[in-house]
Amino acid sequence: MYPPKFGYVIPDSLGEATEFLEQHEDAKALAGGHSLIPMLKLRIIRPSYLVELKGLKELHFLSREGGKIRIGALTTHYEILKSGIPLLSEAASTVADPQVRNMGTIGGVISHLDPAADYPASLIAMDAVVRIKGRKGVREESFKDFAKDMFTPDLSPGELVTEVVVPDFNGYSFSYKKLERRAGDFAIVGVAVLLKKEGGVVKDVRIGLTAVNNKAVRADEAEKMLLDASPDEKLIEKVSEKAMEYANPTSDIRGTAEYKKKMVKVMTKRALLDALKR
Amino acid sequence: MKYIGQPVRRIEDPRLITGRGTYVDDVQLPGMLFVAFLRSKYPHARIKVKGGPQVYTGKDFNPGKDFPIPSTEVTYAGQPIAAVVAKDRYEAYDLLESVEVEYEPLSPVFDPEEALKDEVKVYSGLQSNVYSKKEFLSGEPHKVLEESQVQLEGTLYNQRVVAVPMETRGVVSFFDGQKLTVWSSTQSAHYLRRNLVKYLGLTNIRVIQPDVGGAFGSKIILQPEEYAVSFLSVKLGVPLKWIPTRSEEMMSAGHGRDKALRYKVGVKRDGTIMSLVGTIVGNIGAPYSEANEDDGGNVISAARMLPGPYRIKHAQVVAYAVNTNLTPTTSYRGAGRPEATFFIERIMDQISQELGIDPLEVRSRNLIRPEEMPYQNAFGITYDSGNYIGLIKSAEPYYQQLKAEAQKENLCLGLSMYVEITGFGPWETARVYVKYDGRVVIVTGTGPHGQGDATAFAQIASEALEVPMEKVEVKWGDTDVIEDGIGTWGSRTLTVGGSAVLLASQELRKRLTEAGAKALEADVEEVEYLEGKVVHKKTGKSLSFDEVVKNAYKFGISLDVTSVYPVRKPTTPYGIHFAVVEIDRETGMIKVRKYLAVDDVGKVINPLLAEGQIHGGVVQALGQALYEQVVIADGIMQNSSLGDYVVPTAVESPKMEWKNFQLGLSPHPLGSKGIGEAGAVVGSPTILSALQQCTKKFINRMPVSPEDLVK
Amino acid sequence: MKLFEKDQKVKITLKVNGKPYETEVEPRRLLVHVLRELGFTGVHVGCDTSNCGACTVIMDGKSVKSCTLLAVEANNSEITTVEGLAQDGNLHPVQEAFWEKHALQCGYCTPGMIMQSVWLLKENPNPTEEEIREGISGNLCRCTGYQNIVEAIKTAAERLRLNQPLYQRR
Repeated sequence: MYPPKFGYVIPDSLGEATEFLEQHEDAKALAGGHSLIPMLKLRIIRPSYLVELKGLKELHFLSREGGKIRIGALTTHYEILKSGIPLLSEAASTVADPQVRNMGTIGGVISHLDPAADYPASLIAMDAVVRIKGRKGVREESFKDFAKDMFTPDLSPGELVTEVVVPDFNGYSFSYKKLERRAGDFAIVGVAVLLKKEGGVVKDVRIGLTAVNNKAVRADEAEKMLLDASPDEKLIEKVSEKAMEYANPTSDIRGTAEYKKKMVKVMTKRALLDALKR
Repeated sequence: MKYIGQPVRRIEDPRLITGRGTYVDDVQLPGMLFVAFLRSKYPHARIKVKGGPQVYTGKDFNPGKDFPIPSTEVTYAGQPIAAVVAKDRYEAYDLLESVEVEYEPLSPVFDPEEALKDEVKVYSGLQSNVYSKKEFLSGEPHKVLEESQVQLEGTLYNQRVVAVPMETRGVVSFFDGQKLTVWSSTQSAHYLRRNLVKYLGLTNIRVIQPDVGGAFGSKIILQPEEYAVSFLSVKLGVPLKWIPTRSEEMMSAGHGRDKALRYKVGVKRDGTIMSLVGTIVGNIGAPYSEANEDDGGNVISAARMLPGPYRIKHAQVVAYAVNTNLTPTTSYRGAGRPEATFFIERIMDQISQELGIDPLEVRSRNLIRPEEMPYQNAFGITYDSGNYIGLIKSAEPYYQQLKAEAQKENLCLGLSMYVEITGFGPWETARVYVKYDGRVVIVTGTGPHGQGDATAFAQIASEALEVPMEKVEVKWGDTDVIEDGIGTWGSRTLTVGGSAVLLASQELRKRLTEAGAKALEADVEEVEYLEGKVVHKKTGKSLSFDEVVKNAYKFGISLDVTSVYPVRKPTTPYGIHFAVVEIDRETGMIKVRKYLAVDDVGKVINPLLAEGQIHGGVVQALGQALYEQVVIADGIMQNSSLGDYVVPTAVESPKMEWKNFQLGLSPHPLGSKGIGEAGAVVGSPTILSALQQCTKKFINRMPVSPEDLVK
Repeated sequence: MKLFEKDQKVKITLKVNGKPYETEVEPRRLLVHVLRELGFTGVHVGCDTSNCGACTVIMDGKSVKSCTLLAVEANNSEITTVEGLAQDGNLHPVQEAFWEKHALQCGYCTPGMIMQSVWLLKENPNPTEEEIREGISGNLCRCTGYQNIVEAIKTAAERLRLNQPLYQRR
């Protein structure tokens, strides 16, 4: 369809943007627009104004400092997939299709928080931190807390995600396994794994799941089973079985709850095996 | 042959690859306004729509009637119930939001088996929900069934899908006070014109089919909106444009298939089918007569083609076309034959599995023998020519190779056969004329919309007139440039339309010879037509094509020939297709790795185009087998966008190969049979057959969900 | 800060196929419609959910779906549409290959498919078949079954790599 009428604001600074958004609660920030514009076209939302962010250079950067990678909110999926960030770049390469990856931004994805989005599995596994700016100042939240519920980020009126900070998982192997109906579709199940091995023994492991809960989750107990172990097929099977317990999916056109739950096991196993192999 | 049979690249393409095509939304007229339709939210309800200055309702379009536009009662969700007219599309959709409708919901019925009981009427003006019931019988099927060594039974469902051409429907309409001109994304300008004449009561109508972005059967019938927009443009006297959104389109048009077969089959232990008894129920949706006539016919064709390429002497089928409160169905690529083929090929695989006979062997044992051709099947359809056993023999080496490949990589190899019926009439036209400067112009009464028929027609005329293709151009899709025409559907265009082009070209050749003889001051017998020239056999004196043309004009010999080719009988292409499929045993995800089509489609005019038709048809069949279906809840389509309705991308599509063996010709002058639908006809059961080979599960419905394979 | 009310028109400048255009648009207007109004009707609309890719153009060096961008967002950007590919009447190698390999039938998805292919080959001049298929997975075609499109892209890649004349005579 065609978007309803709305006003348009081009701020000169981030401060102007947050101020305007705070004063106009029914206004929406426009980043890459690849979640927002489809919703506008279907007239699911009717904002009073859109606030264009693309000109705010302070949101568009990617830097590595002190073992951390800082990813500006306006960084596109394309830029992430090209930047060699462990795990996250791999997840970026599975988002939708090339054209969408050229426009869509990480800030947009996590501010929208679709429960089947690809990044959250990785972000939760990476203990990502979200930096948020409002008129009152800047705050940081772990991604885990930031993602309150499906489509519900921890953002007050006027607040904007400015960057996502992830540790540089140097020396980790990783894998993101996505099960999809067809290329570019939302995940039926997505599993992200980060893993550090020393002398055949797992020293750190993180397993993040997407699309099978209201929001992405870590399979903590499953991770613990692998810690300080030399995983063999049997253990991986058990770990994957355990990961399944963290899935509480709903039935929809992408599959029944029962199937999705089973697939968490399969995809976890595959992601672990893949990460162990690398 | 110099042109016929050559893989000539398309004359259609230069415009299309540079963005210079003209699709209906590209047509701009001064002062044009935009029309949008309000659509019913209920599958069955009494309605009161409040009209207004820019709002038009059923009471304006067809007072007292509910079709094409309902004035009091809606019969499916998505049905257009009011039109608004605005400056542009954005404002039209703004305006739609303010139109007031009162709905008084009525009991709906969606399941055709329920509808058959006639307890709830889909429309209060209907005597019965049963649109048609036809029985076909041959021999003594019930008696033979009882006596058969093995009896098998089941129910097969060929689900409701959407055609999804990449361009939606769309209309531009303008009435200048005398003449109505309508541009429409249609499969036939002529058929649409005849329908508009019928519905509007005007005769001074010109219909133009601009470039059309695909159709696959969904743009044959008179669409309610085509009528409404044309009506409004006459009423308002301003040019109007209507282009639906994709989601509207998917909800309200292009639905097809949705047929089920309940059957019993009597079989000998060696796999020979002795008797087949079945009931086909087609859910044809709401009672819009233009659509029902179309898909009601397809229910009958699904029934009559049920025996496939097999000799089944004792058979009975009862076919019901049933109205429900769903979107009316229309033809979708294959139109009845994909359903028939899916049914009989699934039954073949069931027999193969139950009796432990190789799937190719069980088919071979039942095939019609070459000496029996032409063969009349149990339900009166004549298969004109070919050699079914011979084609299997030709396919054998490829089959063995695929078998080895599949075994090596632990993949699943499936196959299916088909015979289909194409080249429908009742007639088709072609006009071929030559300009004074020697340019040859072909006008066809058909309505190609992507198949590349213009190139093939140019090849035919070039061959017949022995002139280079650069001299030839092809026009179509304008009711003002040829007397009349039928259209493009049912794999008929090249065979029937091409035969008309051939006949007109041959007549033109005769006239050119006559003009040449006269110019050479000789009798017609003294000259011959050679390589586009007219040559005096004795003197060797010759006139070039262009010189002959100029002379013809001078002598008053018209070089404008129209042929009307009456079709006496249709024709029956057939083939055997193979699919190599990979199943992920843990996730159930399915990937068709390779697909081989072996066909006999008679004479091939342009192999490039023919193979292209196979590719497209196969991927649509793959879509139906694995991904596509209209999901309905309470009568409302739940997946009416291309995000939710899964059309295959390049990633899901297989590598395809096509082998053609010309073992028979059609009775048409051109000798071709038609290939537009073959892939769509046989592709789905071919893929299902492969899945069965690996899983040993008998699959009776589509799309096959990965979930079903890992249960 | 610039602020435009919903009924207010915004003046924007676009450079399309090398030429500057100035136009006034409502903030809600999608880029695809503005391009079409400027006469670039090769840019098609095939869906309303950013799935089909028929509207693909190259904007500031990246392929994008022009149905999922507001025209105001595109202000001051450089856009190439299918109409801008051929140079002096000579087809781009991707166009040429689409023609040769019978990679189109109805032609409706073709402009978007060609633009995506052009971008893909710029990104990855030597793609594998799998990379080609993934690279055009945001473009739907209902006619060709994709096989000939994949073949055309392979052919174009080869020609571009072999540094054959960028533009070939028709």
